[in-house]
Amino acid sequence: MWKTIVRRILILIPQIFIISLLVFLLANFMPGDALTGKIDPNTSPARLEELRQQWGYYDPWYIKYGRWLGNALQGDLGESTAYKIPVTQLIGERAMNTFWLSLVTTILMYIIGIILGILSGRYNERLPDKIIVFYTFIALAMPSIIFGLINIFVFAFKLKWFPMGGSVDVKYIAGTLPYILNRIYHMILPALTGALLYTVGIIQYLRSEIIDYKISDFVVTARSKGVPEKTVYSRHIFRNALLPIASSMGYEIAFLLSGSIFIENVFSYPGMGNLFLESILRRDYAVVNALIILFAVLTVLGTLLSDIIMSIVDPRIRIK
Amino acid sequence: MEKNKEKTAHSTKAKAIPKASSQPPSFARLVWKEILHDKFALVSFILFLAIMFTVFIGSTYADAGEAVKVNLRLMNLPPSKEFPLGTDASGRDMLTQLFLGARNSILIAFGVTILCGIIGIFVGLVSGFYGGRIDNIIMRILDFLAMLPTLMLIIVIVSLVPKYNVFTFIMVMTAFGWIGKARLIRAKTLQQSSLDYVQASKTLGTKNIVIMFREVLPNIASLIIVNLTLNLAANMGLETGLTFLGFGLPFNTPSLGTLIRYASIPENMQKRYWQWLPASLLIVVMMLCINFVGQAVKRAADAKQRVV
Repeated sequence: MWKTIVRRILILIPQIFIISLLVFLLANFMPGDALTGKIDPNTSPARLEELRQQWGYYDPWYIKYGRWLGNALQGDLGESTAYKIPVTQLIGERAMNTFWLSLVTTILMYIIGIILGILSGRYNERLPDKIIVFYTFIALAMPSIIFGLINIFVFAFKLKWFPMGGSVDVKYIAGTLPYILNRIYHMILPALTGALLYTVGIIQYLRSEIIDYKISDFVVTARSKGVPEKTVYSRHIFRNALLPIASSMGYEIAFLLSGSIFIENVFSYPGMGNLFLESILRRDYAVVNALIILFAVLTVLGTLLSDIIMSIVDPRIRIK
Repeated sequence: MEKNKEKTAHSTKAKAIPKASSQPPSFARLVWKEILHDKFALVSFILFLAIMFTVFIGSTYADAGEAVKVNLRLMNLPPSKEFPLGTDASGRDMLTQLFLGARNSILIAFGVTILCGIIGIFVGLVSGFYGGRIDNIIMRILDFLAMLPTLMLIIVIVSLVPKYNVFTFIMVMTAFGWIGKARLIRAKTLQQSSLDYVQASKTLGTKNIVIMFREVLPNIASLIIVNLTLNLAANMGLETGLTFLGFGLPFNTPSLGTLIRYASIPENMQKRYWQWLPASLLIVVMMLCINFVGQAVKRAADAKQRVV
């Protein structure tokens, strides 16, 4: 297994090279540069030209790429032109916000998905199952922005249970308990929004697994031996049906880390998704480049993680 | 996994005895029977047709010039007889905007889905049918493309294109949308290519291109239709989402996304529900309809799941 993991990571390296080149070329075509938009009226055009020359603005793209790559390999992804701080530091700050939001969303997603999936599978074709199946249809048809807006409208505006957006109120001091509680309080609504929508896959999968296992031989045997119905479900069916759910965790985490653009935007949550949108609007290409590469790497690592978890929980499957 | 769910869900119902006939029923007929049988699908189908009809009739009568004209005397009016859905902050009639917006969104969703289907079918068939080295090269490229963060790249490209409209937007979305289709169709073609009828046809000296498009394609057509139907809803959601973020259609071209965007101003969201709620409801209803019809099409495509 270790061999496979190492090989998969090695394949990742050329892929990242190609992506970085692609993204770099795209950024190179983008209108404007780091000096656009914050030109001091006192700076003369001649001085600007001089600065551009000095910073290598007129160099051909391959020289620029080489320079960028050289720096990137040393861990220097450039400086954000909008925030005036190194890209790595800026992304690091925002990444923690996104990480916590994704973590809470994942936990909620699995709790909701496992409960509803088990109910739906166990009481197949009966009332709870029908309600849950209908719910999955609605959730599939609901774009995350609209569900987010409705939640803000109902729970933040009308009922005033939750804050409208942001990640923490300014009055709290970082590191104290009220600060942490306030952050969690801000996270509940966006996390629930994501969890209620993205849990559909887990529900559908668990439901069909349980329905399949119900008529499988080992369950029939257990029943005929006189094992109580409750134990048949808890010891025989759920245990088998729940295993594959664990394996999708890697995909889910990668998806949430990168796919949270919509939810972060609706709830104006200061995570990586919002940073990406801001950076594009501000033509802050160093940040855009770094984020796209980061997300590509996360996607691949998430897939790898899923494969590894799968091979651990289910010894029948070994990655080759 | 889907298959099993459906199978067990319907196994209790008795299957109608098919009439004896020499010709198997056509796929269109099977879909129609399936839709008639499923009340949700039937209602969805009629509702979706009604929405499309209303939107296209409404948007032909709507004056596009009138819809974007600013009239400050009619600012933020609530729904009234003259303006059934009120007006926005520039005094524009929301109903007209809803018609035009829905038309654009539907056109984009259909355009992207059909184009992705065409490219996917072509690449998938070639890759799966020829196999060997061609398949290897195409698959490596597809593997690479599949790991790209699609949503972000679409946003980057949209911000790059200087003058974009409905057409360029369809192109950008298609550029990333066909990858999944190609993989699916390639897998199905690979399966078909090993079957006897393809071998027999080859032995008879039929041209490869004829085998691919006249023999293999009809056999996998139902699966492609299912996939594309369900994909239609996803594309509609993606378009409105991107436009909502400000990286879809330009602000002066109404789309359901631009209308939902009114809600991003807290004032509008709290007090002027007529500006954003109708568009939001419309898109949810349309996506639900497509999904329900899609499920019926899916059952029709699989003999094991068919109810009728």
